[in-house]
Amino acid sequence: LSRIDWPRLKRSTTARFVLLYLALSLAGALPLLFVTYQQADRISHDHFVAQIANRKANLLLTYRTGGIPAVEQGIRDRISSGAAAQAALLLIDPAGRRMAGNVSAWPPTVRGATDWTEMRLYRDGHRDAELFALSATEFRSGHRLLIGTVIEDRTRMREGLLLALLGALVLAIPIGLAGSYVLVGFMNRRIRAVGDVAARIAAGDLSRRVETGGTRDPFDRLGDSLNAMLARIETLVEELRLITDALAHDLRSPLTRIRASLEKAMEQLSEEPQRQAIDAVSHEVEGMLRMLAGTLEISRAEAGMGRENFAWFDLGALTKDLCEMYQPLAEEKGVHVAAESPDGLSLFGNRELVGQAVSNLIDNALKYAAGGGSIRIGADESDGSVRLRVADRGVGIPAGRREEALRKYRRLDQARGTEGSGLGLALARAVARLHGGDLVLEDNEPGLSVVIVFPRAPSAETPADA
Amino acid sequence: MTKKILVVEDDATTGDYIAKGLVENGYSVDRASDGRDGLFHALDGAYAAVILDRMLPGLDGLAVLGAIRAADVDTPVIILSALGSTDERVKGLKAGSDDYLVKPFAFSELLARVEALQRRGAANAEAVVTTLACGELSMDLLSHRVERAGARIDLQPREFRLLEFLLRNQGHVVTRTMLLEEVWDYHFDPGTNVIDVHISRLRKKIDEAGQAPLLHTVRGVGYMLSEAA
Repeated sequence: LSRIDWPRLKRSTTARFVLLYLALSLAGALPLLFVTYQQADRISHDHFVAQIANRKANLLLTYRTGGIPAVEQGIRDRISSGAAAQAALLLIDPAGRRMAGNVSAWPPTVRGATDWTEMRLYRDGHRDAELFALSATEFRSGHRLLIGTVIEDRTRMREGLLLALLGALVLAIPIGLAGSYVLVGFMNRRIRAVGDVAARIAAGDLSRRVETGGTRDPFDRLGDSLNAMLARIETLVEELRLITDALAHDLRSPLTRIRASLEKAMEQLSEEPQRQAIDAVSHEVEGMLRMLAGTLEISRAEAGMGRENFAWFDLGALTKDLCEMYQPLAEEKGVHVAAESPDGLSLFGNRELVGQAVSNLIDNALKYAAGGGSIRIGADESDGSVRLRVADRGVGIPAGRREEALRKYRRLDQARGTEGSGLGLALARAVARLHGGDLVLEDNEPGLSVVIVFPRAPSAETPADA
Repeated sequence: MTKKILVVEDDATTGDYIAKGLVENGYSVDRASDGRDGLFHALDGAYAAVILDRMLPGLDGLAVLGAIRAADVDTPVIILSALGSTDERVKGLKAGSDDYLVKPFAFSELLARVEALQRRGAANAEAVVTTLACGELSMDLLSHRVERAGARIDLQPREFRLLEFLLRNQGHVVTRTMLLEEVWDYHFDPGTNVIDVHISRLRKKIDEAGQAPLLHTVRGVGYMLSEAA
């Protein structure tokens, strides 16, 4: 039990649901039990009241026919015959002396005539006081009569009833818990089905739909609305993608023609200042073409294209390869690059795209962390996922701005002065998601650590014929 | 005899641009504007290279390529495609093309690739080469020994492959993208000047002070290894 995560359990909707259901079912059971108790008690009460009333009526009838002596005789007869075994009887004269009865003295708290009172009394021949329901009558002569019946039985019955009801309540808790657990489990299953679809969609697979059974129950209708929403989103995203792709695509042709014209111009120019000017323009055009290519690559990855080229490849070798590729450039900037990956760490994915993502990350690290000493590239495997890390020792990104840094074309202030398209991280994330993984920015204390988490095994969504 | 190149391209502007450039560089050009026509010409087999658009009316570029290869015609084929992503390139290369160039492209890039394919074809026809040389620079492919004017030069494995590729294409321009594809086997753009730095390192090792430079930069296009400046 010590392993249960209580704070988490407290926050869990399932736990809350179970408890709420339990509380509601108890709240529903309590009035029922209360009414049952009341009714049972009233029935026993009526029973005793009827007994006393009957006894009293008989003795009063005796009084009317024979006066006090007849009553006195009647009481003696009842006691001697044993008819008063369950009764308390007492007749006293106006001075308070006992004339007849099985109770030694008149209870001082009972003064005038009473209809119904409960009290403990000692009877002759009984060691313990017993609980009686009592009724007192005063005659015109000043004599007083006390008639009672033992209600120890009733108290016992009350206790028994309470015990039974408490037992029912105690029994209701596990039954309620089990019932709510089953109910919540059923709802959770249906909600999880919807949630799973939503997760696949968040991962970029917009073609997913919730299964609906056509029963028109609220869950089915939720599924239907969700599906309708998804269809709409899919259309909009597709339209947006087509527009941006078309734009990026159409911009490339004129840019390439500009580049060709610049090439021609370069051939004809011999003076150095002009050649340098042309060179600078070419450089900018190259940058724009690169940005457009990056945009197209990201939208392809986001649309899920590239999965058909998934295959097993050596991720460790890839990181070492790219580390070697960037080594000279890094050394020129005074940065040390090192790759630490275990041998034979393979990944099922698109080698070219993963390579491009890693190269973008190294490129970023070199740009934003120049002079920061070292960049470490590493891949390792644990708990069924492969973590690929590019960590630098530069200025890093504060926690609050990391999400912003992942957006397309977004470059944080500190990076504005340097060259770049602002697409590197966005592309790396798109590639991570294409592989069913994600990209996380972490603090390297100091510096930034970019981690791509890949699922180790190919997911069920990967086409088997890839 | 001038070499003949087949250009299969449905877009007239692009077709003109390619044909004009090739003619200016001493090739003769045949043109086809749809897949069927292109396949019909290509099966003739008399071309030095086929430049094939990926998306064509009638018969798709990859289908044409498949049919050419199925007919045992091994003319080098360069695919031109607007589909620029890295995995599209890989798909094109897997389908049997010798090279893959993304539209829009600089003509110098296309020309460098056409010429590289010509040399590769010629090299395959020759006996197995064990040494490569350019001026006083020599490379022994068996012992991995590189010398310039008798002095031994130590190269890293990657530098060795880089120099080997430059030597095999000496006298011709090789582009950065070609180097990346051939020496590193990646088809994406690593950005910045990653390749340039590798070249300048190699240059420091083979062109020492006082020696005539062998490794030249061709501005805006790429690099060239040659004796003449």
